[in-house]
Amino acid sequence: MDLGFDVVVTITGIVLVFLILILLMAIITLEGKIFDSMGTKKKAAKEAAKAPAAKPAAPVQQAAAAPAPQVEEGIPGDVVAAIMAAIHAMGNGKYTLKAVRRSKNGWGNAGVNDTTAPF
Amino acid sequence: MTQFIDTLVGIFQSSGFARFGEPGGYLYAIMICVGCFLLYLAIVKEFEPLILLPMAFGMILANLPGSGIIHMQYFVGDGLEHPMWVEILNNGGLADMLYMGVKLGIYPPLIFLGIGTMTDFAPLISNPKSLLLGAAAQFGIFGTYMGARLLTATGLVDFTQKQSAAIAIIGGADGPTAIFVTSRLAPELLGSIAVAAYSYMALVPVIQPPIMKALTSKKERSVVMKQLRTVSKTEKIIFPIMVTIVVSLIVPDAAVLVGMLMLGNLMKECGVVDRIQKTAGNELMNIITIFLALSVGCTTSANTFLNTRTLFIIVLGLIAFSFGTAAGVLCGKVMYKLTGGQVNPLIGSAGVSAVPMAARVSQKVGQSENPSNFLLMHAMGPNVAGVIGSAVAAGILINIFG
Repeated sequence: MDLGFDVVVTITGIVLVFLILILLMAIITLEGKIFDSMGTKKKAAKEAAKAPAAKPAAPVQQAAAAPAPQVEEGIPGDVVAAIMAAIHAMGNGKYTLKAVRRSKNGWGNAGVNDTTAPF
Repeated sequence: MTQFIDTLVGIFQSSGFARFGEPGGYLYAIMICVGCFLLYLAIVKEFEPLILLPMAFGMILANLPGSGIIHMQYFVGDGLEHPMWVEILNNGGLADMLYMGVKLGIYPPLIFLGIGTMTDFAPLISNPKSLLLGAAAQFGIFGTYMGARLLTATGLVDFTQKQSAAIAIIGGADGPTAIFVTSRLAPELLGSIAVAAYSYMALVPVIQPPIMKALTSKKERSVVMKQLRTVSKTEKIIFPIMVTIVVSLIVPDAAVLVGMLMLGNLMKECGVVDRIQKTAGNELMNIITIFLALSVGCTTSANTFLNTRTLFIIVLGLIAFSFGTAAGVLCGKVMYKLTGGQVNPLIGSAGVSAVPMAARVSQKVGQSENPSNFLLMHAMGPNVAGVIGSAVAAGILINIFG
């Protein structure tokens, strides 16, 4: 039995798998670098646009510190903290929590929305 | 009265019980016991139950004497170039029709479509070097091919080149890929290879940790990796399109598997086809899983399953899995050295695919050394790279032997 062909298959196979995945790696790395540089440029442009406007606004912002949210009785503090953290994370600090109230039909509305939204 | 008794005797003689007493009839009983054992593993031990349960039940159904649920002679046989379509359409039943989806290579790509809708390639995109680990783990496939050929050379068993390639794909730790390749190259071994592949995938948490610990030092296992960079939505959308085009142009035989995987992923990432994405990842995938597992289970007849070949397939499958794991970890060690200790070699073992179980094993072994270490997302990179790698390897094997 000649194993020569089998050795060739084994070597060819593994070399080809490596070459294809290395090619993908190179493309993804390049793509990542392009997107990173684009992101950095955008960020720099945003910061440059914000910088002159931020100076006069600073004392106003300090004066108008966000008031504590009105929390309905019975809602624990850790729940309020979690909601505040989620809003801060999702909105990058743009939004302020004003009040926390229990909603009677929250889940029902979410269910209706989930079912009907795609249509 | 005599007529009544004759009728009863006639019914008994044509029943399955009477056929157990015929020459070789005990083999059916053994196969039914094997099916029941696999059911036990699926239900009690929860070994890949979604696949193993319908597969084991199919095995029982196909081995009930006289049930005639599947006619494998229409699909596989000496000198049979193509399935006997006319016979299948005239005399075939449920299992024959379902098996056509396996024979024609329809189910595995559809399962890949569903897997694509559930896979997050972000860890791979943010750390493209993971692809090297996914590639290294494919050593298991090609190493086992060579192992099967060497075994044949010793005369212990007689596997053809196509059969050796089908057995080797178990090392990809990817059930649908294993079924896809086997249905093309060695359909007569489909049952044995599918059972071995899914059993080993369920045993990943048992097989991998000893190999990972044996090949790495405590210091290497304790490496805490840097946080991955954030990947933009545009990158996530470009990725499946780019991978499909590049891989399919180089290995056209991998196009159907990689293409379906990436189509599912594109549906997920683009966010504009929510309805069909949910269908592909839930209802469609569940239906295809039932069809695939049941029809594969039905192919396991006593004469093709109860032989020394199955034993060798099980042993070779274990070697393939272990070899793939070891190659991944060793590649991880090389990366550890080259990066000055920034890569934890444990994530290399996840390159054998088996998503997400293999990544979870990396996380678990890493955390046992350093409880504050979270390797899961780092291991998901090689893990999904392994899926692409095994699909590419499958395409190469089909290209060479198909």
